[in-house]
Amino acid sequence: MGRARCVFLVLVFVLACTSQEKKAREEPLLPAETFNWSPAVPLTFQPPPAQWERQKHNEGGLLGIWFTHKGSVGERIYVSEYYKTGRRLLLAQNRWPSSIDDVVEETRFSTEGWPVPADSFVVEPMLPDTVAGLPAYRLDFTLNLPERTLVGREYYFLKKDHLFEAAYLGLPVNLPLFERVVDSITFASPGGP
Amino acid sequence: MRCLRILPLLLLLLVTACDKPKPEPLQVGDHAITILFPKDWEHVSYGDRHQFRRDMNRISLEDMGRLGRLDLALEKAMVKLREDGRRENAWRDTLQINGRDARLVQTWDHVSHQYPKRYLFVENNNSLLVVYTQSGQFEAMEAAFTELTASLAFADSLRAGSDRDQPE
Repeated sequence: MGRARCVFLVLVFVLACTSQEKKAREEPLLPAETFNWSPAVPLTFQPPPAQWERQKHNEGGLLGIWFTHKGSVGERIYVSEYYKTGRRLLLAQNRWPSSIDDVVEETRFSTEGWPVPADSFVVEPMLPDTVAGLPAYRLDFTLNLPERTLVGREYYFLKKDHLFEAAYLGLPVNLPLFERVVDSITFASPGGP
Repeated sequence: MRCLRILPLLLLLLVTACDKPKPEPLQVGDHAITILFPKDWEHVSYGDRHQFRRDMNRISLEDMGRLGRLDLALEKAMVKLREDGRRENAWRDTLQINGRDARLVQTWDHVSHQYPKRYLFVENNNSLLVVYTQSGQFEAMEAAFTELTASLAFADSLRAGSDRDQPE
């Protein structure tokens, strides 16, 4: 009887995980919205579903929004512009060519400033990727907390001298949802990086 | 006997008819209008501006005066109403109210697309009337705003002898 109960509980757990993962892969995103954080470079994406509560994000040189998963463990999705880069390059009036390689270190993930010891993080090397058809970098990390392990993923991409960041910190099960948000990113203004 | 049987129905119809709210006349600066006062909202008159209040929510009607042609006028009016660079238009609709050109505009915070506000601008005898969700929680005001603006109607004339500014 004890064994049967144990198997039942494992089955329930597996089913719950599968259903959560399915939800993260299939639940429709909200309709696309265009954000004019820098009016010259309007960025469009589909926000996560309504149970991800939005807030303005304006700190550390980043201006944008974050979405907190209600009733979860503080999972967050960020989409922001690192506006200091755009302003500086605008002032420089294209005196030097800029690519994502020139500026990515300015907003790259750091273990500093977190309220946990630096060795709580396992940070993977930054890898080349693509966002909205633009050259980008992706960085994955793991945050090992006493109560659970969270995964982090950040994308950095440059459009017309404006450096953007899309980031996730949360449970592995919702990483596919974040990936769908990133896949929905487009720029209304034509032209390359 | 048969009359007695339908008496309750007649009474019910009568009560319903009496209960039905009727549009009330309101003078908003130069604009003579009638509107349905939102139920359970307190009405405060400031002359050129009228306000409906409920808890922390405020819906205002304001005479913005002569600011020029409608599309230009509403841009000027929105600056006056503190729709500054931190906010932007979410959407804008063109419509007519009593044969007058009008614009329904919704704005939001330009960074997060939160904190919506809704404005109805109506050009009435070259003067601009605005009805807007001034402050509070938009979700708690939307129904009253919709009801109020749907009931908006104009009396035909402006007050004589207006001393308002000419178009800029």
